[in-house]
Amino acid sequence: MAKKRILVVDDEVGFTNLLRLNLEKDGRYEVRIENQGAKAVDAAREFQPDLVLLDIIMPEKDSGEVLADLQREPSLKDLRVLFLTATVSIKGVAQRDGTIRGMPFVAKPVEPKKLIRRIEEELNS
Amino acid sequence: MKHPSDALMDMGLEYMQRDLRTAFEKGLRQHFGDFVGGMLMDVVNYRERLKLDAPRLREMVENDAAAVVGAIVANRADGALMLMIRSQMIGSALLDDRDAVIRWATEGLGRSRRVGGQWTDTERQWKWILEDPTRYIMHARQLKYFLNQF
Repeated sequence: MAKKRILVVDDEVGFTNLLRLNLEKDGRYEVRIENQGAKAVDAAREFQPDLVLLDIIMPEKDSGEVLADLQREPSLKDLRVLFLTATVSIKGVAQRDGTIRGMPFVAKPVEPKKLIRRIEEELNS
Repeated sequence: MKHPSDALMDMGLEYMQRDLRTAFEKGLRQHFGDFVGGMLMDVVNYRERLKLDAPRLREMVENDAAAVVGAIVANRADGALMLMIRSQMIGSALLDDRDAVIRWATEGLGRSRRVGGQWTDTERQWKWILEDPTRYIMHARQLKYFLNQF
């Protein structure tokens, strides 16, 4: 079975490296990291991910702008996005059933197992 | 319907509160200097009835954070969002959450340029907070503690 492609866009280098290790260890995913929000669209165009894990607050270009850029790109406009945030707590996200304004969210830090479960939910939704 | 004397009492209280508030702001500006005193007045105006570290304050900061995150994802960049970011920074300072203060001040600084208008003038404030977040937290918490005495 083909591996699902996950693009991680987050400016925290340590976090993204660890995330890649954990996701790739699972065996079901091919992961690409982009630590600069400004380069996210180029990375997505090239990598053609099944899902983007997108950090909310990043320097230079944050998630709202990145999302708007992704949606403007014809080949990416139906791309699924799962947001990552350290701003709202795990409890806060859970209280909102994992969504804020209808968008799927995961609070950081997140346990690998829980993140994978959430990724699978998004990929199968 | 209110008795005329009650209405007069309300009006008197309103005037007195306004005068005391003006006097308090003047005092803050005298004590801390115009720049810092003005910034601390935002702390005075922030959720006046909530006490430091109150579970309710934590809950409100948490709820407001979700609103800010929603606005950022919706790619909003306006004065309302800036006010929310400033509120989050003040709330985080009152909760003694240094990391959150840094996160919000950084966000405020970055967005003040994007939003423009009067928010460009707040650049110096965000920078002052980022220069020494602990100093800002201490001032904010001391002030809130003092205000809670009444």
